[in-house]
Amino acid sequence: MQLEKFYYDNKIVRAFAYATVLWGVVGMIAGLWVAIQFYAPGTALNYPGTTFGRLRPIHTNAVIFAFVGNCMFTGVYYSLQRLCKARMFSDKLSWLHFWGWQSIIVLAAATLFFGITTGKEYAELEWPIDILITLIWVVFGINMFGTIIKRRESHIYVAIWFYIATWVTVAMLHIVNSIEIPVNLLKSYSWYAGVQDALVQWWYGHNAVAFFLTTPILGLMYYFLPKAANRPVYSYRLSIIHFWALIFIYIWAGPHHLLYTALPDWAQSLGVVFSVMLIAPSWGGMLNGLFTLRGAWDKVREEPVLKFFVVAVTCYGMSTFEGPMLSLKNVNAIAHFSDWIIGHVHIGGLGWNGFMAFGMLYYLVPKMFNTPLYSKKLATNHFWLGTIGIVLYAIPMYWAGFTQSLMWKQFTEDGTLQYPFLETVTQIIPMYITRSIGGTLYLAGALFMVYNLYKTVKQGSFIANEEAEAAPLVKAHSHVKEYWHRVIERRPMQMLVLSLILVLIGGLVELVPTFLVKSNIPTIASVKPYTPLELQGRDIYIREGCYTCHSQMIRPFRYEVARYGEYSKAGEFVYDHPFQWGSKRTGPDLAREGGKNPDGWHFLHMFDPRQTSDKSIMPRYPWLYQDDLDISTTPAKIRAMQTLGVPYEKGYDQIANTDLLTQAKRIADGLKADSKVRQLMTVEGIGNPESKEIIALIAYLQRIGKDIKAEPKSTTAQASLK
Amino acid sequence: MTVEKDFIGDLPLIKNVNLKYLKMKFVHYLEKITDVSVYPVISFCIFGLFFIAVATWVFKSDKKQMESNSRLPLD
Repeated sequence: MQLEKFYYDNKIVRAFAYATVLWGVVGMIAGLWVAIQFYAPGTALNYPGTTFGRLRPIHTNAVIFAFVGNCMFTGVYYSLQRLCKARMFSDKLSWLHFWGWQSIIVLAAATLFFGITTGKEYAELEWPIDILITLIWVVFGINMFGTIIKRRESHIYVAIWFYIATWVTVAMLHIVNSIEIPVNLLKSYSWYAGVQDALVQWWYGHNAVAFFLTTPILGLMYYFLPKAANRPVYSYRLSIIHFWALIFIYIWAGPHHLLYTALPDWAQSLGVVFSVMLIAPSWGGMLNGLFTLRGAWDKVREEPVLKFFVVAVTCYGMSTFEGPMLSLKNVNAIAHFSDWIIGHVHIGGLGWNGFMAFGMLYYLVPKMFNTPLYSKKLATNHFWLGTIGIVLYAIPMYWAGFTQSLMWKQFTEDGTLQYPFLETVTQIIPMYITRSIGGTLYLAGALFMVYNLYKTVKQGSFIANEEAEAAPLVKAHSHVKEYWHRVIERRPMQMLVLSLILVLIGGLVELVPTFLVKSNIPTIASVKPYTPLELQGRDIYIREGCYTCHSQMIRPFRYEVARYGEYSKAGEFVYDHPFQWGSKRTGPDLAREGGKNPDGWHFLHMFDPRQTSDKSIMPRYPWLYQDDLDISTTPAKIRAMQTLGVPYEKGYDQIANTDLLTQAKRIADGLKADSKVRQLMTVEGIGNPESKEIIALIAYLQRIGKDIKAEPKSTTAQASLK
Repeated sequence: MTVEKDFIGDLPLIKNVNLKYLKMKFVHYLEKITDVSVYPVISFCIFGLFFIAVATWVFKSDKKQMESNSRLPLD
């Protein structure tokens, strides 16, 4: 048969590779900056955009969607063309995808900087950007499937299965979790409330890890590791089992983020069982990767690309062992809300994702520029800096996590808590310092790579269109009966549908009962909607990213009840669009904050936390005392809440601001009667606070978790037992 | 229903909130799904059967074909 000549598009791969490097460095700098803020709160610069609550989402979004996202696209655009023996389906779509994704990143950074956020972790972007993400994801999908369909190779290699599963599952997760009611162009409320919102969010959050940070990178592993080692994958059979078992099981594991919370118990147990089962396919994949290097370990000594891959796959193995262990309820009770989780995710982020990206870039750039790497020695130095950086990052975080957790639960002989919360923070400051040293080393290594790749690019000559030859695909007319899987392997659409069915089963079984069964969310009669001022205050709480350091979920443990108050009930959150349970306690839990401290304390504390709590590491929020609360949005916010089923009476939107002003005046009058507040106002030149944002925030903080206190004891107990 | 005098009740207008309606608007709740635990069990069985089917196919499949598939990135 006559061979067809065609050209691989390297330009698009180069563009995504450059974007990976750029956003990687940006994301790491943001990460280092927030890490330093833990022991030097002044580095928040007293400026809204650079304060932890806004900078942390910038870091996470930059690293996940910009760095790993562009890394995924680099690898997919390179490997897909070669595995399909075809150029990408459409150059126009490739470039639309590239520029669309970069625009999303820029819009994300800008909006998060200005506090425009939905307040849902790793899904913070507001609704117009969510729509843009959906459109660009569809463009990517068309381009990918178009390429697969016009391929010249009959078998669809296993890496492509991972790409297909990634595409379909991320689409489903993004759409389901992003359903929200717009208030205006820059503000929306989650369609779900409280427990349901939490379940959907962590179903999304966990599977973002699974299908954005894991499956596509596994696809890259199955392509680039054999390539770099110049030998086929250890067991192709194992890779098939790895694929199907992984995508089926992963989707169920989300509820392990919500153990001991107000989520129904059956959903928690389900999450635990599937999380433990997840070890099997994850380790199957890891071993498949490592065994690929059997008999080639001498190459690992010489080749920095393989060094990066080996540590990446090992880190994958470590975090996928640790993940199921953390899902066990007894381990989770210790680790949840602590720095242990931060250590865990960074083994995955720095080790698995980062090192896979670095290895891939060191492999790709010299290939596309038809030249050897500028300096293998520099790349090896990068490898060691990065590896030591990971160790110096992770160990202090584990140490800090254990220390915190043990201190949180330590009682004295008299039966009172031994340590005030602040002492559990100041105790681990040395760990935070060491962690940031680890991060600095890792970043320094990445900068070595930038230089190394720059010099490689300079010395080489770019092959924009790489020539290749292959025979066209002839339609198979087999007279022998084929196994069903062999048929699926040749048909990308069937593969897509089957993958979708598998992930849908897990999603539906988890989500639907929680949405349908009334008994899952016992309602509590004393829980009432927020007043308009509290609602505005809540939006400021979300805007400033308070949830990145404070949880609002008291677990039913003696030490938590003793420290924070009665444990949280599902029925308390029915008006919380979105939920704000948080996932980390850098500061104390706020679920029962209402009424704990007087208004005046909050006024002084938010202006400078060190005034009320010596050695606090919380940032200052001086702008809340200067900026007027925008009450023009109140009617639209009330209407949006009404649409979501919050029982404000019809027409309340038009008169809500009257209530708002009444409540604001009452709080401001109370504050003015406080001598310490008056003193602060005089010294700092703060005018009448009545119209300022701080009043709304105080109103919200004073409301959190208070409703249930109005409930007769017996009813509350009954509700919690339901 | 009118809210009693309490920490939000002294606002003049929010008293009119109708507290009977405590469920989300977009969902018609079922009161109960009988034996909700059967759902994960069914799914677990689906997974088990599917897993066995894939495993059976994988181990029965042609060795040569598998080898040639695994060499795709290298060709």
